[in-house]
Amino acid sequence: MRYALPVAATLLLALPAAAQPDGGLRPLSRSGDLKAALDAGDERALAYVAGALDALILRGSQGDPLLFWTRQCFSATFLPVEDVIPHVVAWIDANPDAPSMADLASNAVLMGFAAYCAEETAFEVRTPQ
Amino acid sequence: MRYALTIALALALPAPALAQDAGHLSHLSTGAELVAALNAGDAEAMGFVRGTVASVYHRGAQGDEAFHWAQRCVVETLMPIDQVVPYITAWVNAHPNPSPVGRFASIAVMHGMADYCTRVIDIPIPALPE
Repeated sequence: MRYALPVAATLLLALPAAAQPDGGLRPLSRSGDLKAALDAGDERALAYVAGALDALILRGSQGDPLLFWTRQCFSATFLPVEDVIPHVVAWIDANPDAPSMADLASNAVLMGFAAYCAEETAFEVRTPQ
Repeated sequence: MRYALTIALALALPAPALAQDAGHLSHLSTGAELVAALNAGDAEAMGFVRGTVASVYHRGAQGDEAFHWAQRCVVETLMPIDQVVPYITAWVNAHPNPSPVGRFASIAVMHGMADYCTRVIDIPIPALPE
């Protein structure tokens, strides 16, 4: 079971976009899919980033020690989503060959979020692996 | 510092729509705003839910024990968002006066996910963090 889940996740990540019924980003979408949607001006992609950020701030607020900085950064900046997007895109561009789990769109949001906060605040930013 | 952050968060969460782009969901949105957008058939609302689910799944995959169930559920079901939405709506309707942190739209998504997962697969879910 322990090994079955990562294998299943890897297989799912390899699914083509055509396997998605409505073309929208999914929880297992890859970072390249997110970048393409952002580049195309798809507002669902912007909302996807906002939703991903919301969950990360929530976990920081709930006491996740690895994400405490998310709450600090949010309180200090109110986190304009459009200001985070360039950092998300920059991370994707800088990591074209990320392994499967790191290539998840949600990981790109996390890393872009961290880069934004490191640049805009003095808080110590830690990113889980 | 601890209290300053809590106060800032409590002030930020009920921030009116003027703090957001006109009518767009953001991480400042509440569960009620999310459900209103979902009921209106707003495609962005579905995008928001997908992003939230992605982060919850991702934290589970990274080892966050509070969300290990989410990783398993997404992998086993692919989490069809249209099937999760009714559970999100039900949770928001059942909690009309949430706490400041409970106003987070992602809280509603998290609880909706958990209710969906317990319904469709045999998976124990521990008490969700508040």
